[in-house]
Amino acid sequence: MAITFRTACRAAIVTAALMSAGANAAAAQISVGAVLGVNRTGLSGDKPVGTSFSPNHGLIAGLVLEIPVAKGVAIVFQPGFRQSGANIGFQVPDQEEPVDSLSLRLDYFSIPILLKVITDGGRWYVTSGVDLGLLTSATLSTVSGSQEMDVNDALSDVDLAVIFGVGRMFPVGRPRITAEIRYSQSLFNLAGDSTGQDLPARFRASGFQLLAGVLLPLGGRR
Amino acid sequence: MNNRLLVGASLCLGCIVGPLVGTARAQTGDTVPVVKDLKRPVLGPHRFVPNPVTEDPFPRTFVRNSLGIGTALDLPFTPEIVIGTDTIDAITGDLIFALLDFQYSQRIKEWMGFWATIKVRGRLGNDLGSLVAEGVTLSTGFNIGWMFKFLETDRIAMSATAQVTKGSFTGMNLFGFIQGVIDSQPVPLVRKVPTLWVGPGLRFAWAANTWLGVTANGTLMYGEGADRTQASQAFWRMSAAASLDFASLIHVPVGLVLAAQVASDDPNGESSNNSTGGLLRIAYTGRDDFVIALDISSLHTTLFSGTEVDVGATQISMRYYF
Repeated sequence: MAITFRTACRAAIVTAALMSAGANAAAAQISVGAVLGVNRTGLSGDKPVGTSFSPNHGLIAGLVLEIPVAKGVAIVFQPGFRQSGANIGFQVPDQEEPVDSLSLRLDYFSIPILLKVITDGGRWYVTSGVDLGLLTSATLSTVSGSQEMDVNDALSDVDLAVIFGVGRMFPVGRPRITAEIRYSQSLFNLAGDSTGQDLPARFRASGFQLLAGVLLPLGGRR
Repeated sequence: MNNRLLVGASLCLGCIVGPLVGTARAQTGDTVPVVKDLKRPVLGPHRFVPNPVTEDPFPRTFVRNSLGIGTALDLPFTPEIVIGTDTIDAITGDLIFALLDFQYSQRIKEWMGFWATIKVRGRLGNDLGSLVAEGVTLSTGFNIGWMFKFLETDRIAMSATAQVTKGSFTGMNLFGFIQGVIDSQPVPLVRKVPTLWVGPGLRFAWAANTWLGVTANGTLMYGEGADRTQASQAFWRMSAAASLDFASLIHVPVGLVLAAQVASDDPNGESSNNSTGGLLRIAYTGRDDFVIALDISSLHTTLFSGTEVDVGATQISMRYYF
């Protein structure tokens, strides 16, 4: 039987690259850059009766290190800052729908590690990977902002999210401008010891991220 | 339909008939034509008839949808009770299930693709007894995943997958609500819980000859289900299917699929008990880019209340390859 391992080798290279990215870096054309965007997240979990979660907007900003590991395939590191959170609504008299009453704001130092696969045309790409978030600040406040409470100790310090994204690159000379939309879903329960903090016992964050960035290839021209 | 019959038939086809045919062809030195440049999944000489129970390992760009209805008949919700000379009749009834799937799959590279699926499952009783006993449930799920094909020979292909399933389970518990009123201990009438599963999987395909192919899937998932009395847990699913392409056998554009699956949970997310199921698909395969099929399936599973049911379902499915 004529066995062809062409596709197997490609996948193996991608996997092995996670372990040997540093070694490959010297030989590959690395790109560096920055990314800025908006994070629209909501919470889902075991809501108490009469409450609701609605999405909130936050900022994403980070640096980009892109290491090619095969033709059209790269490993991307994007350490940076990520804000997420949600509004929490409660049922109030004379109102049919819950009214947003509290706002939960979570700030993370975030380290997305992504696999980026560029389509054969060279412009469109898809990304997928994980985003490890380290909680730096957590604030529960009234929507009006009149009262604020630090709930850092009531939440999990670490958040791990999976990311699926699609984007497009626009060459502008040597640099490339990127525009990307991502779906992010937290895997860990964000509630640590939230009993008595007006937060549900089990909840996770999920939502969409809209990002714009710039990438500058280092080294010689392609 | 007896799901064990489907399980047995599929295993027989996959494990006995296929190797026999393959061996016979090898012994006679028969060479089979290699089919190429088709939109539908093809491996060596075999054009696979796709099915939703056991997906193939080939990244392809397509949309598919399934719409169906299922029933579980004559379920004994409460046993017959004899009190002295009086007999209280058993409460029996039927359950009706509505099924809706929509999937988009995109090939990024020849060896890589992703998919996104929306699943909706509704269940309700068709009379007072079943409505009170089992209530009404609605489960929705959004599944997104990646597939990496890492092996392809002229007869065998394998892919690895990684997927996330986010869902929501809504249940109206009439029986518990009424019991709570009687006991003066309020029980919520409607309960809605989110679910989340994540995990890897493997997909396998074997082309036995022009008219027979076998596919198999294995998935391991970890996460939270609708049963909040259970902590996060892992479960597995395995399935196998025999694909028969009559177009290459007797020049009739019809394909047949016999598939079977076993899982350590309920595929609709209602419970954490084992389930088994089977599928018989009759598909029109006259076009390279389009498949329309009638699916007859069975599922032995456990409802959220703990009631074991055998569900028979009929679905119309369509799949269009770009």
